[in-house]
Amino acid sequence: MTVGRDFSGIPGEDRLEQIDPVAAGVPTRPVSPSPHEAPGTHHEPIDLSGTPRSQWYLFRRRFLRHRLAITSIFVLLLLILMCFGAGLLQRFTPFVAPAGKQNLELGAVGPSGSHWFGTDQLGRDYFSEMLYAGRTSLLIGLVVAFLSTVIGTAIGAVAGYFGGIADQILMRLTDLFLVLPSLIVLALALRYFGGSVVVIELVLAALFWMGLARIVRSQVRSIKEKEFIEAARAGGASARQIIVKHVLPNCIGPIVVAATLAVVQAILVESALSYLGYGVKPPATSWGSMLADSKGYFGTDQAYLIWFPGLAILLTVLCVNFIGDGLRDAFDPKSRL
Amino acid sequence: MLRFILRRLVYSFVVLLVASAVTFIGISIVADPTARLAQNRDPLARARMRTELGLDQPVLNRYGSWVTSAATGDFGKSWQKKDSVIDILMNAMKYTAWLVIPGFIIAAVLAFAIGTYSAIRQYSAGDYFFTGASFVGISMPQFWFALILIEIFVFTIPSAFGMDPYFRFIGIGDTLGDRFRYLFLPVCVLVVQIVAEWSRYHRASLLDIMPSDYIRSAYARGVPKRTVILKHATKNALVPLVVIMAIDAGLIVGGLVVTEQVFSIPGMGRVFIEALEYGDAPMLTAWVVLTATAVVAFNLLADIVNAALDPRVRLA
Repeated sequence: MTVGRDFSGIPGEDRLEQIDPVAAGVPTRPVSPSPHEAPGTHHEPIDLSGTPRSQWYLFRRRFLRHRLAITSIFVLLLLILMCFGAGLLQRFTPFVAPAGKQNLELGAVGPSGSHWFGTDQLGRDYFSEMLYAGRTSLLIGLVVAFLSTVIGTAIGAVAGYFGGIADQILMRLTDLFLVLPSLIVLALALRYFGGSVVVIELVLAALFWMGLARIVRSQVRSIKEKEFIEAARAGGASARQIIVKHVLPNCIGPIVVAATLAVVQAILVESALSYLGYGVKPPATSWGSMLADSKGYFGTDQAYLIWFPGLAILLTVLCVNFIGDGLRDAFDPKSRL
Repeated sequence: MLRFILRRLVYSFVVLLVASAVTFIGISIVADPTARLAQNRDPLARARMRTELGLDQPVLNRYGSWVTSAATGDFGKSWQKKDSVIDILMNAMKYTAWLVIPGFIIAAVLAFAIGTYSAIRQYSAGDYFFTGASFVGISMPQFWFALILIEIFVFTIPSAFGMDPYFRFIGIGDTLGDRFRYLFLPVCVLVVQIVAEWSRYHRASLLDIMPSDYIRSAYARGVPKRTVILKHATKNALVPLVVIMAIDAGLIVGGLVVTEQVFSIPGMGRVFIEALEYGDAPMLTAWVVLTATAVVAFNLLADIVNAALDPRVRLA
């Protein structure tokens, strides 16, 4: 087993090889006849003709078989490209209008060939507005997932690896964050700091890391007792090196799955906050804020203003949930397809 | 067991203290209920109100006196409504209970039925349907789903048939007979969301148990599949479901802030929003203490139930 080799590239590869080399079809050490072996008792050579398969390969194969997850990745990528490429679409295609371009004479008209999702009260093309708003929603999801994953992983890893007083302090902090009603914290923080996108991202990230911190901590506590960690320590690796290169790659499964959950939660909570009046403030828009702006239109001819932003959120969250599900199955060594 | 409960109670007490401090001090910093008097014609009006509410004292002193009187069971009066916060909370709980209790019962029955069905017929068309539905259920913004239900049940369907809408969506009705018309839609919102989660949970724990030895021996003894699943497997699979129900019950005492807002139900969620907007420190803090107590208590209950039902679990 190699310790301290180059871990560049995807961490899952090395992690998975370390855990279970036999299952991957790779012999752990070369089979060589022992010099002390009596002649005539020589063992039959082991058949090694099968293709050696890395755990990363198995992970990939399991994930690729999850058709919904693969479809979801494509749909999500398409959504991301359309939202963030809205500027280009606006310049080079007739389908997307400039952001916030009003047409007061037109007013609110239902979906048609020229305005796919209709127009809002100010005559703005709803499809284009949704693309621009999608940037905020998607960005909040991705940034919050990234930040909360980093915070949760760091706190869990430090608490689990060092134990003792650091563990005590960090875990009591985690408990405190877990018991505070998150809605209170969100509302107070957003009232105090204002509802800018960055503040919303930071506050949400500060509220979503606790579950992951606990999972990572318990994983790290069991991994750090393994021999390959001892070998790394004997080889003179520093605590930071051991955590980053040897311990964390072994927790990649729960970390990635928790990240997908954080994306989902961030997008849904942002929309609920918008509804309650604590979400992003104009001129910034998100799917949640568009939905909040159109909440009074049920039962009118403008009900389509409610449908579309909600469907966009539903589609995005559904895709991320499917991807998370696929990842969970693929990381589960018990499901060998 | 007793030591476990005692230790948890002490720990919970600390948690409640911290939660109340964060809320009280936080809301005092963030919102000033006298700010609206700044433009008052009487230049002394604001100062008078500040003295009246005790806002001329440092915030830590105010929290200190809040804690001392709360310790004697006196949670003070709402600044906004002038009533005792206990009375306001009790009244709000009644409304929330009308929403939550039917919702919970219906959700429990549905989740049990759907979870069992999906586990028995794993990978059947029905299983895929419920899996898909529960993914949609957990992927929807709650208030959007509520708005869509109103749009469909109150407007689209009745107008398509040229009828008056049967279901109502503002409040919970005045008479007992009216309750169904008013509560159907909000309870639907609640039920769909929690059934989506619980049924998946129950399906997973049943499937987890099916490969066990005692299930195999039951089959070997010739027990019919139906009995094996409904009796042998269900007994064990119910434990995690009951535990998660207890935890969710604690979380839901805070009301359904968003759903209550959409359907204008003056329950716990509304109390929270109004206290927050006004900067009503005693009201909001009492709300947090009550809901946090519920969370802590139901979590403890979940642990005890778990230990009572599953002899392998030891409370320590």
